[in-house]
Amino acid sequence: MSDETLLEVQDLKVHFGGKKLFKKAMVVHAVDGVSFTVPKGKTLGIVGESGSGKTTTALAVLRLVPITAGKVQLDDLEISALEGDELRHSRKRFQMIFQDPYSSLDPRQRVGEIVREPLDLMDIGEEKDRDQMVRDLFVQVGLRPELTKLFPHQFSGGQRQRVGLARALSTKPDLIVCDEPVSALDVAVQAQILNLMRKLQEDLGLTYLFISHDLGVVQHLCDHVAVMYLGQIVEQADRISLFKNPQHPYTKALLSAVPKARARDGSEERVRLKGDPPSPVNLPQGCRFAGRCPVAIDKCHSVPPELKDRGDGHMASCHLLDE
Amino acid sequence: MTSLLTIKDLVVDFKTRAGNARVLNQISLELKSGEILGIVGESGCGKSMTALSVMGLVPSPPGKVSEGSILLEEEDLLQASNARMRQVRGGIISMIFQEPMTSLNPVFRVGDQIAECVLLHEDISKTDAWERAVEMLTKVGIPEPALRAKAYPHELSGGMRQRVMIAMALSCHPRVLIADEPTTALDVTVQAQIFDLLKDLQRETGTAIIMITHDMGAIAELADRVAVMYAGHIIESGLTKDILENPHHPYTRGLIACVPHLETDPTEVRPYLSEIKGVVPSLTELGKGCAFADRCPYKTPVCEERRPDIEPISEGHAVACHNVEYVVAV
Amino acid sequence: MATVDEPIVVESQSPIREAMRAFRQSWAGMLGLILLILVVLFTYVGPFLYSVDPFEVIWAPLTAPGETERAPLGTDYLGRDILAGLIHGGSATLYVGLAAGFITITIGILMGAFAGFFRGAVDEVLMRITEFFQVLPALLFAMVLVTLFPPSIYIVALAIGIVSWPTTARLTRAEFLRIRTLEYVNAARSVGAKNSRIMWRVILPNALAPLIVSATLTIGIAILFEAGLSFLGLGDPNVFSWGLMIGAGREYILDAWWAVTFPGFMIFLTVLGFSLVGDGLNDAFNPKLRER
Repeated sequence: MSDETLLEVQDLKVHFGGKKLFKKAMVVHAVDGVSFTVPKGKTLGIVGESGSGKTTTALAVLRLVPITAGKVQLDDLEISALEGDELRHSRKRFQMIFQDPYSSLDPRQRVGEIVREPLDLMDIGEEKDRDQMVRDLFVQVGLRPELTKLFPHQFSGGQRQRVGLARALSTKPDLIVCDEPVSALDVAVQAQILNLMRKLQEDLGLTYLFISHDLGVVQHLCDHVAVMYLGQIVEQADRISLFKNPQHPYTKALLSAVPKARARDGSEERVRLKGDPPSPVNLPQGCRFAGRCPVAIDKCHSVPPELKDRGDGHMASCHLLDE
Repeated sequence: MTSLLTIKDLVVDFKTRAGNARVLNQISLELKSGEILGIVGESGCGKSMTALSVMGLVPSPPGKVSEGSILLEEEDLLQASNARMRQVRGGIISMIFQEPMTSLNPVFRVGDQIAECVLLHEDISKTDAWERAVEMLTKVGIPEPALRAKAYPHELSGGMRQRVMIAMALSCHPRVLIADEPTTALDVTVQAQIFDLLKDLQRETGTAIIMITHDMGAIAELADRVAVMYAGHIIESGLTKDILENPHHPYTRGLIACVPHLETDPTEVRPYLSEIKGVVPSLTELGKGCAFADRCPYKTPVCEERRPDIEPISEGHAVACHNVEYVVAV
Repeated sequence: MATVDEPIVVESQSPIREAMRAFRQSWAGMLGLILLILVVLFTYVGPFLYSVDPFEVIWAPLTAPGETERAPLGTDYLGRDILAGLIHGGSATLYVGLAAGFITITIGILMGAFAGFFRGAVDEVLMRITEFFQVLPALLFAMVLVTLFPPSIYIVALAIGIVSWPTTARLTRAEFLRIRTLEYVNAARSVGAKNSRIMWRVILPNALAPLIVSATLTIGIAILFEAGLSFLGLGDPNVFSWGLMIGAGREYILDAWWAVTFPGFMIFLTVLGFSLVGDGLNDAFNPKLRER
C-alpha cells in the first residue's frame, strides 16, 4: 500500500452566473474553497445533500465546468492549467462514470461504438485492434462481447452502467470520478455494480473520486470521506474515524437521519435538523450551517469557522470544537 | 383491530407489444385501521400498481383489473361507480406521490389547492376551506402557515412541497393515506423530518398508511407490517421486526443483505456485498414456476414446475417459497 | 431483454429502424405518404403520358370539364388545358415547397444550434435576430422581396425560407438546451470530443426527430405560401404552378369554378399529404405513443 498522492485539489472555487448581457448578475457559490487529496489506488467519497456542491466539485475536477479559482493536480499533470487540444488529449487520464444510466449513453449510438469512441478520439492502440479492445472491455465489466451491436435502450439500468464503466476504462485512466453511479439503480443491481467497481479497483489499481448522497454506500466503498455543505467541506477523515467518531454537528445529523434497516430499539440518540439546506446564492455570513445547527452559539452566526485538524488527520470546521 | 381495506386475489393485466404482462398476480393484502403497512420491492415489482388499483387509477387501456376485489370495509371499490370513486379518492383514501414538484399545479397558490380539495368533498364555505388549508399547513409543520398558503409551489423547497402534499392529502381526514415513495426525491435530513411528521400525524389522526418504498430503511423507520413484492407477487409478509430480523424468502434475504447498511462502528475489513444474480424477469415471460426461480440460489426442480402459494409459517408471517425450511436452515 | 447470463444473441434495434416500423403502423402517416407518392407520380410521370403544353391555347376559353375530349378538365380564361396545367404546375409548386423547407431548416438549425449550444452572449444576439425576423409580417416581407427582384421561383422559395426559419430556430435551440444538459454530452466531452463533434454528431442527431416533423409541416406551409403569392400575382409568370393557375382563374371563379377548384384541390392534397406524414413521423418518434 502506497500513500502516494494521485489527485490534489487546492482551494477549488466554482462560481456560476454574474455574466449576462441583459440580466442582473446573481452569483451562485456552488463550490467555495475546497481542498482535498486522494492517494493512489484509494477512494475518496464526497457526501452531501443537494446544493452542497459535490457534483460541481466532480465536474470541476474533470474540467467539465469552468473553474473560478484553485488548482487541480493529477500526479504530474496540472489539470486546472490545461487548455484546448492539450486538455482534450489529457482527458484519457481522468474519466467519469455518470449518475443516470438512461441519459449518459447516446441513444443513437451502438454500445460498441460508445465504448470505441474514446479509443478513436484519443488515438489509442492500432485501429485494427480496437474492436477487439472493445470486446475485451465488455468482458471486463461483465457483459457478453456479442452485445456490442445493440443500442442502449435494449439494456437494463445495471447493464447500461456497465457500458458506462467500459467507456471510462477504455482510455486506461488513472482517476475515475463517479457521480452517484448507483443511486438510480435498484438495490440488487446496485450491489452488483459496487462489487464490480471494487473488483476493478483491486485488479487495475484505479483511484476513485466517489460522489454520493448515500452514506451506507460511501461507508462501504470509500477509504476517506469528505462531507460537504453549501460549497465547503465541513469534515474530512478516514472512513473509520469519520463514521465512528463524527465531529461536526452536520455530520452527526446526517448520520442520524439515515434510516437503519433493522427494527427500532429506540436506544440511539436522534439529531433532527430543521428546515432545508439554504440556497448557495445568499450565503450566511458566519458558519454556513449555523441556521440549521442545533448547537449553534452567537459566534457561529458572525465568524466562519476554519477547517482544522482535530487529531490524526481528522479535519472538521466548527467553533464548538475550538473551545 | 378491524380490517379497513382488504385486497383479495387482485389480478391486473397490461397489454404490451410483447404480449400480456401480469403486473399484479393474485395479490392479497389487509390494512387494519390505524396501522402503517409497508410495501417494498424493486422497480417494476407492482408496488405502485397496487396503490393505483386501490385508487381506481389503473391506466386503462392498456391496463385492466382482471380479477379480485378491493374491499373498503364491506364495499367493493372495483364495483363502485365513477361518482362514488371520486368521493372515495381524496375523501376516504388519499395519496401522496414521489415527485412533489409535478404533483402540485404550478399556477395556483398552495392554499387554494388545499382549499379546492376540501371543497370537492365537503359542503363548507370558501372561507372555511381556506381556514382549513391554513390549519392543515400548521399541522404539517410549515412555519408561518398563513403566509405560506399564499405561496406558489415553485416558491417552496422540495421538503416544503412534500409537506403541502401531505397537508392536502390529509385535509379531508381520509381513513387511508397511500404514500408512494414520498421521500425518494428528498435529501436524507429532510426525509427524516417527513418520516417523523408522518408518524406524528398517524398517531394523532389514526389514519392508516400504506407506505410504498424500495428502501428497507424507510420500512424499518415507519412500518408496523411489511409486504415484500417481486414481479407482481407478494412473496413474503409479516411484522416489520420479523421480516427485518428473520426474513425467510430468499429474495427478501437477498434484498436486505445486498444493501450496504450504515454502521456506527465500521470495521477495517469490508466484505464484498452479497449479490442477487441477474435481473428481474420480464413480466410477459413469466412461466408457470416461481418468478424468482432463475435468480434463486436454493432452486429445486419443483420451483420451475409450480408457483408457490403464500402460506403462513408463524403468527402473521407468511412466505411464498417451496423450500422455506431448507432456506432458513442454511 | 438480454441479461448477462443469457446465451442467445439479441438482435440490435436501431432507433431509426424502430421509428420507421412505428411509422408504418401509423395510418395517418401511411395515408399521407401514399398521397405524396400519387402527387409526385402525377407531376413527374404525368407529362410523359399526357403531353399537352400547358401554355398552349387548345380550345375555347372557359370550357367546362367534360365538354370536349381535348380538355377533360376544361380550359382556363385563355383556353389553355387545365389538366395539362395541373400536371406541369406540380413540379414548380413542389420545388418551391422543398427548397423553402430546405432553406428554413438550414438557417433554423444553424441559428438554433449555435444559440442553444453556446448560450450566453451568442444566444442573446442570435435570438434577438431571430425575434426580428419573427415579428416581420411574413407575407408583406415576402412580397417586398419578390417585388424588389425579378420574379422567379428561386426568389419566391428564398423569400418563403427567410420568413419561416425563426420557428425552426427556436425549436432547435430548445432541443439543444435540453440535450446539452444530458449526461451523454458530458460523457462525449470527457472522452475528448470537440465542440463541433458534440454539436453535430452528438446533439443534432438526437434533436432531429421534432425538427424533421416540423420540416414536413414547413413544406406544407411553404406550398400554401407560394400559392398565396402567386394568387396575388407575385409568382414567377414564366413557370406554371398551381398557385399561378388559381391566381389566373380567380376573376372567373363564378363562371368557371373548375379553373380554381382543380389546382386548389391539388394543393390541398399535397399539403394534406405533408401534414399527415408529419403526424405519422411525430407518432413514430414519440416513444410514449409507440408503446400503445
